[in-house]
Amino acid sequence: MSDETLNTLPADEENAAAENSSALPSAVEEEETAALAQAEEEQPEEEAQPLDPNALLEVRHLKKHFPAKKDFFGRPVSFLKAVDDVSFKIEKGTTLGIVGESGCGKTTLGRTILRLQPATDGEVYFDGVDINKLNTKQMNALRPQMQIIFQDPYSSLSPRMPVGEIIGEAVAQHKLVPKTELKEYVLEVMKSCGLPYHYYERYPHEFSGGQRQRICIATALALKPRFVVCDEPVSALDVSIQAQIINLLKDMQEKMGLTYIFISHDLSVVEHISNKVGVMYLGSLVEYASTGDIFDNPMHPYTEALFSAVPIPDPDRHSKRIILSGDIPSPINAPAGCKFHTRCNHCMDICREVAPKFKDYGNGHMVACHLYPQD
Amino acid sequence: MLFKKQQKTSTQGEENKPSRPKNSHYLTAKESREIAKSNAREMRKYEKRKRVKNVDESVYTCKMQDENNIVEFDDLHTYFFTDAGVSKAVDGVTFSIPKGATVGVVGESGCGKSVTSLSLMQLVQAPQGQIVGGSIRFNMGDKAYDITKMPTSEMRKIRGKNIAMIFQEPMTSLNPVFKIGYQLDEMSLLHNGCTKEEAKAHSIEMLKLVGIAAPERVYDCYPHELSGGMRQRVMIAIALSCDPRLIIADEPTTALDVTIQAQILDLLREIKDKIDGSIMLITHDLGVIAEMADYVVVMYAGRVIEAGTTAEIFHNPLHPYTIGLQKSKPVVKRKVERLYNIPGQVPNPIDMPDFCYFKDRCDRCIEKCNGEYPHFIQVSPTHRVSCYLYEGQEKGGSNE
Repeated sequence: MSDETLNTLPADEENAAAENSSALPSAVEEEETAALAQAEEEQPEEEAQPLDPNALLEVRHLKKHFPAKKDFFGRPVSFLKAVDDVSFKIEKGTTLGIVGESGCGKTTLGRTILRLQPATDGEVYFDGVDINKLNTKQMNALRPQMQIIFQDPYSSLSPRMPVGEIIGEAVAQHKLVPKTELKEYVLEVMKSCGLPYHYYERYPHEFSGGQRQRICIATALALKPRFVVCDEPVSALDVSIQAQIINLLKDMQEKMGLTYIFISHDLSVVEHISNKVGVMYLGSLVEYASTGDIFDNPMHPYTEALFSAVPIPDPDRHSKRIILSGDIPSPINAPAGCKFHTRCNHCMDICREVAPKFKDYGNGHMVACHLYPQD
Repeated sequence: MLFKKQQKTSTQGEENKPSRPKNSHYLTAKESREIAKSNAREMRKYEKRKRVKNVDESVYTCKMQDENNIVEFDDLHTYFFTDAGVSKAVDGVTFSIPKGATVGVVGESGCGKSVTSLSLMQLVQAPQGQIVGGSIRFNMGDKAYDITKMPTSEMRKIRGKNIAMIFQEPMTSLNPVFKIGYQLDEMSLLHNGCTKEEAKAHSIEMLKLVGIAAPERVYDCYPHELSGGMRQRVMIAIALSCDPRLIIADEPTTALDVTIQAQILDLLREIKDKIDGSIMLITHDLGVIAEMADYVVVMYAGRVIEAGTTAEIFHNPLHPYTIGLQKSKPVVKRKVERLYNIPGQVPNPIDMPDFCYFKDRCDRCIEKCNGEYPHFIQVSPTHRVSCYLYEGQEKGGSNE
């Protein structure tokens, strides 16, 4: 157990909880499935809008606010709105890329969707179930289906556990395979992620960044998830290693029919891997469309500036660059009206007062900007 | 004595580094002792050389091969004496930086690009890291110095004044306990010997030059009060404050967001024209290189494998590694089904093979690749590549 607490793996918090409740596995499981079914039945009645049957994950008006300042009695007086009213859905087997500058709430969004942090408000429907309404037991039963790959492969692996144990830990916890077959199963997962079998007993410090990221991916995929949040999985890696990891992620998606949320600040990587792209600015989605649409025809001025800022490795092609002045404002006192108006080149009077609606302008291309008709 | 102590404290790194190829993953105690002994001996030798005082200028004065160059690296070797063996971080690097040009150095992490620039500043982590061979000729205008032979006391007069450096992490390279103003003034007080008032006026002017809107306010700020982009601007202001002839920008935008990166790159370009200096730009981002650089040097495992003008490297890459690097990076609006990936990993710098370092990862190997490390082949007057595939395509004179 002491190892367990030291471990920084994603599934850990819930693993510890799961252990407490696993005294009577079969009975618990039955209970869980019953509860899940019940929750599923209840959902449609509560929601006015029906859920999209093709969507594996649907996020509605998700909010995550952190208390920023407290008064004398410890009551929060102001909030940092890390995720502020975000809605989108992801179809099965597709990838949604989330891009934005650092501090725009991409990572918090990913973690809140997985309920690694409780949401302040809003709903996350995973396969028709609102996960924010599930109790701990039901949530634990759902955990293996939703996994996360973290950004930094150097700090997300326990330095005290050998690779085999790291990958097998959560599998044993959730009792996906019998104990006797665990090693075989782990070796199989390692093989599919491109890790040779003799790594089984080695420790994470013996590996390079790319290999560690493979271990992280294997850890997540060992649970046979249906949905994986990739939180900047290649940002800490070199270009040539990046390509290996991206290809691995794509292969695994094809093989296992995975659905990804791919969080990154690297637009070229996002364009390569995603089917849909959402652009975030200060906790809100400002644009959401299919990859082709958004790269060919970015509608929001922020998206336009962001895309034009990407350096292109071609000395002859100097794209016309839109340079944004200033820095991203503090999310504690986000600007009134449109959050982007302080840096926008097309700022109008209305932008300073009224927040634009996040509207569909055809073909699922959603934008929140006053440049386009609001009604 | 000092060295021995330091080694003892840092021995935990020993088992991390696989060193011997003979299937053994770990070092025996005997081997480890031997390494420690020889390291201490070597390091003492080099440290002694650097600490000499009152050296005659003629010892480190040299002649530039080409007067139009600002810096010439000539067969530079910088080694690290680690507990697992000697790590050849820079192993024979030769290239030059012309006056007024931007030279981009690309390569993966650990390929020695940062160590090359640190060697030029004499800032390699000592006593473990030492320049063991080759020369770095720096053009001072009327004379030229060989930096590898300069004692530390003399180097201090050049460092910061004639060669300035912008570091990768603006968060960690500014001192958190001093105000921005103090850190900026330090430069002109030390190198230009002016009064405090003059220094302040100069610093504020520098802050203005790098596009900071309220220079007087920022002058009185502590680093933590500024954002990443602002801090990087301050770093650039510090680098510029003594009118350096050469600015080394070591991954200046890696820690920044794309939109801020665009601002900083724009600023660097503007400033280069203003001060008429050269920039050595170290980065792993090919996009940044394509946009900024006039010449590109591609490094791999401590060696230069290809060098040429930006157009040559991007339109006609020759070395399989350069080609692989370009193909493995996804590019916006250039659709590919599957990214090319270079198989395998960079060889261990402690046990470099004696054949081409890229051979094990190369998909275009020929029989000759098993031989010794390939020499440079001059494909055009500015373009050279170190690969056997291009033997016989030589044009122009051979390189040193």
